Amino acid sequence: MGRLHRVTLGIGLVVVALAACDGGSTAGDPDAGARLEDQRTEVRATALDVAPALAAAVGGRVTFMSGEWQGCNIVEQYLHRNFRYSVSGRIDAAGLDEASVEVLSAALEQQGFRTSAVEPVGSGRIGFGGERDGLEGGGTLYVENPFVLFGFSGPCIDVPKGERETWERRRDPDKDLVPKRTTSGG
Amino acid sequence: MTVTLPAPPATVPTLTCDPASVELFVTDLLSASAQIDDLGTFVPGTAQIPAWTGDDSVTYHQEIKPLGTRADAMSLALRHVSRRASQHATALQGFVTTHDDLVLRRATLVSELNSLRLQAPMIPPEQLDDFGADCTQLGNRIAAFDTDVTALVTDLGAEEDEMVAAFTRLQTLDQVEKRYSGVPDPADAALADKPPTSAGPAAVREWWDSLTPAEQYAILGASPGSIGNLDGIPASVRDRANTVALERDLAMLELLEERDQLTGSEKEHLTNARATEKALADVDDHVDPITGEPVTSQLYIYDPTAFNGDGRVAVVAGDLDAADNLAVITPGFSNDASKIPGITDNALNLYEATRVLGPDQTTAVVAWMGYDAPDGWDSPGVAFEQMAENGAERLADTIDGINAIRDDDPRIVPVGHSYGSTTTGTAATDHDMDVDDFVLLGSPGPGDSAEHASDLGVGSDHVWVGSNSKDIVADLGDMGWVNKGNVELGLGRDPAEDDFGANRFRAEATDRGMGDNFGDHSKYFEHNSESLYNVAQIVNGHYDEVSSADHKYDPLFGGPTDPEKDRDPGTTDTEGHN
Repeated sequence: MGRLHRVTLGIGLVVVALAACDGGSTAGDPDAGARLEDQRTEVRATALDVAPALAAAVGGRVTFMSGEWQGCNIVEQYLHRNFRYSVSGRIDAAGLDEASVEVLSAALEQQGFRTSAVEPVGSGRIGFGGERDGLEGGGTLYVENPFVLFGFSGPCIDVPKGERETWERRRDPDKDLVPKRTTSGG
Repeated sequence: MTVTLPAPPATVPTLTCDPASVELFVTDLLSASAQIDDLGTFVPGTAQIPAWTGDDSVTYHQEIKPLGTRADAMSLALRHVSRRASQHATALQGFVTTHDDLVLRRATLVSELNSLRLQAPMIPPEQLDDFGADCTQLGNRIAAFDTDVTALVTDLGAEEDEMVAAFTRLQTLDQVEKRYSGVPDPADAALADKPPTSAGPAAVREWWDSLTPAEQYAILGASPGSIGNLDGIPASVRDRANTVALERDLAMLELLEERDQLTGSEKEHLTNARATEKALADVDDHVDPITGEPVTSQLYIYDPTAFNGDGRVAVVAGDLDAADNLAVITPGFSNDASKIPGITDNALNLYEATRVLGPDQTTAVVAWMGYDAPDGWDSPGVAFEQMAENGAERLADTIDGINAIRDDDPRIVPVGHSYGSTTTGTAATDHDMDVDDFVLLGSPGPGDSAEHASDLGVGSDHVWVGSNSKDIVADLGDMGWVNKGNVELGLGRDPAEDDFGANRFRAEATDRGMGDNFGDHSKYFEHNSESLYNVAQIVNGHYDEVSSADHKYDPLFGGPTDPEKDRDPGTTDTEGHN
């Protein structure tokens, strides 16, 4: 952008800069609501099926697991144009080490996921992941204080413009698949 | 020799209780106490009509007097039972913890007992002594365990009895009046010593700490508004006071709404109250990605009618009184209290990212709608610094208040987005703020006083700028030698420019637009984005983990250049899902 152009833009646009927002051009899927509900069922079923298998592969257990709807691509302030359902949780196991991430990746593959390469995702963290029937699954092993965070997500679904606000604030009243604390007697 | 295996450990009774729901009940009681206290204040105050004379006036004033006295007594009684209920919630939390520990202990004991059972038939005679010692040792542990189970049941029963008794003693109006009629409200004397706001947050903290727990609780019930937004009061106390005020507002305004009696300003008030309620619910609904526990929410500022109805609200994700790292997000143009759920979503994303990237550190992120940002009729204010200057003073006060409530030295990082970065930058240059780093996102300029990053008072190494190359607003800051600043226009320098001297970090979005656009201005807090990853690393103090970006520059010949335009954006994991 040229200098004179910038100055003009700066003086002129600073007032109206944020007033105009990109509302997103897509009309959205009219069946988005039903598809997102179906996705919730599918992602939760997958998580309930696969997460314990991952935990068993490293001799551990799922400490907690819960799900929620998430926005994918933001189109204007605080408003996404598409959403998906996602489940997150944690696995704890004694004796987890760097090699465990290969075991986890293999366990994911055994569950029918097409896995990608295991790789460091930052200091002290190694990631693994894969895809099955459009669902993403994966996790991160924390090397220094060994535990695993994992997640499963469905694909992003565009919702009609008029429904974005509703989905933005949508909460899952029954989000816990494995609650953190159990108070059953023993 | 005969060895006897120990008896199995006692069964841990099922415990079904929810301390959080008791806390909600406590808030309801306190809210009711505050409303009735208002009536007690109203009767000897506004309800008095000195100009009205005659027999009717005498009758009127005589009739309402007992109403005021009775309201005061009922307010005190409600406060008393709410305090007892609050203690009950704390006790229940302790019982839940004890219960869960017992369940785990029992599983271990049963496993060890089964192991001994399996070994028993195969123990050779020469090892019977050792085996017997193992059985005795396990038997002792089981006996201690059984005692603890009995204690849990006994203590829980006693606690429930005391709780019921506290309510039973104040079941009727007679009981309430007998006990509390004419009793001075402990809140009155305590509030009389409250230092003026000008005394500063340290003096407020000292005053608050000097009060007895009973006096502190009395103020919560009688006058939550006097401490809810007072800098120097601990965040957990402000949260309770403001929640009482919020509950009171919702109860009153929703009743008026039901009767179709809301005025225009009351509608705005109700909108802000509902938005605040929603934001708090959003935080409560989230679980910490590392612990799986619910994220703590705190209502740190609640003044829903401030700024001609735009409102002033701050919601915290995390515990401001205790977290290691604190971030304060200041939003920009077109925001007011009704937008607090969206601002809080950004705060939650940052909270989650800091936890995923630093699981050993705790975080609290403030969604700070604490100033009058340009929006609605005063939108043109976005072109000038006046609103940022006013907001800067309030932001500095908030930071001072946070420092006053902490005896340790937490990391504090103000994060300004859009016009909020102008407010944040101005707070840095115009006020002496005790913080560690500054983050400016999508900045149209950090204010005229910030010619260089070093002007922000934390050292240029601690000034961080996220500016994606497609963000049209981040292009509005002054660069080079020909600019709006020369004619006293605009909001200051572009902090992403090389001459400004700040650290620029990567903040490109994978779904960035083709050309400069407004959509990319809103992507800085998105999960798995370069921007959120880097902001979280800065808040955690992990400077080495921040991925730096080349600065914009403005050569003598040719226009301003942003090297980030030519770089392919990357993804980073801020959720732990890879």
